[in-house]
Amino acid sequence: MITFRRLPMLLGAAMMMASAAFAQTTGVINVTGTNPEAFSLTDTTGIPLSATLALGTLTPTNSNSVAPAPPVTVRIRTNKAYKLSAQAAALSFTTPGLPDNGDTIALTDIGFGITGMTLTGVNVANTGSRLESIPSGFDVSGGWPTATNGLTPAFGKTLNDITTDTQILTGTRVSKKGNMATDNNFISVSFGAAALPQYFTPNAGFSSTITLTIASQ
Amino acid sequence: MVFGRGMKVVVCTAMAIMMSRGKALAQVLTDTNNGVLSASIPFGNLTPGNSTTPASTQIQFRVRSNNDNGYRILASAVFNVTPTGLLQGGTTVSASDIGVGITSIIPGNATRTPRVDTIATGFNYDPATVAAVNGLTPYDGTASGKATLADIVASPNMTILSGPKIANNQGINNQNNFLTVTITFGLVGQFFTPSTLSGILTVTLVDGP
Repeated sequence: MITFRRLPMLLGAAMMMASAAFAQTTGVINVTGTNPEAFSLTDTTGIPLSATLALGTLTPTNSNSVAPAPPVTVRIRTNKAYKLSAQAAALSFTTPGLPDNGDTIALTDIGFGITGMTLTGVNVANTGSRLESIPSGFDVSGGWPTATNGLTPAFGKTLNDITTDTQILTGTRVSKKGNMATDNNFISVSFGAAALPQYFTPNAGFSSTITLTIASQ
Repeated sequence: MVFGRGMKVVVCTAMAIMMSRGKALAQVLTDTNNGVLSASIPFGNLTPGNSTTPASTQIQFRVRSNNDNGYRILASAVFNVTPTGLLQGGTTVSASDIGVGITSIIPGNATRTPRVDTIATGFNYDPATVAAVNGLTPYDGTASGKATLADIVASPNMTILSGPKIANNQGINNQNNFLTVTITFGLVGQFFTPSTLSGILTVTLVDGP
């Protein structure tokens, strides 16, 4: 028998059951992510740059023309304005001969600069109208200077000018999109070195490691 | 037993609630713990790499329904990007860069068989396995068979999955009366404008067809 006194309890129970059993029919999925500032320097195959500017054997001749190393081309990709800097380590020599009061080749005898750039690509930001900025002296796209009297010419810049981390190129964002597998979202920058072969102290080889660093402006 | 007028009102209210309860129980959509589906699935830091494989992430949820007409899963989405860098002639990530696909539907042992659950055109693919040709976004939208979040943003409450009655009951204490649905998202890390992104996908379970 249902009485008035029990009805509130029944009603409450019914409401509790209804509340507990009400169906959940909606769900929310929140997808998040971050596109960080990104800069990359790779060789022309897309792997981290490790290349050699080989001046070869510098045998003195009867010429005032410098011996340039085949340039090394670097691919630059960024999603933000960038600055590229370079730093050369001291020269190291293999089997150096005696100077006998002569001169040994030095960082000041090796010209260094940017020999060319390709600034276009379907996914290059502002393709066709890019204006990279090269500090004075580092642009050797017009060629290397000619020597006079068979001595080291007046290079715009030499490796001696980058013995500390030195800015050599700046520009605005390079890549519209794509990653490092993309074949049209980078600019190509070629770096070269040159020296005039002279009667420097003999050696079996010399080298200097140039470290390129790219970062946000 | 004799009721007064006021008592009739109370009893009718109780009956209405109980009827409402019965109707609402036809569908239940939960996470895999039978709780409310409210998930955050992060892509994390999308640093551009040298790979043609998209980054991917996925979510699973359970669908229960005893409606004789079956069920439908509706999807709506919003997408937001907060740039932290300048555009400078580049491209910013958008909803069309995020692939969305239903990558599995697993029926429990107590679901009705045989059954044919239908994934909407364009959503029947795995965004994680689509090669990013040339390092670019490989998803072209539903028309090309590779749906993106932009397709859902553009068509709120679009049906992405439907099917016949799932089971004879929809109680969440039953571990065999549901479909486990997996949605996979894909995104290729690229040199997009520095930014953070957030896409909110809302899925709703309704009666079919």
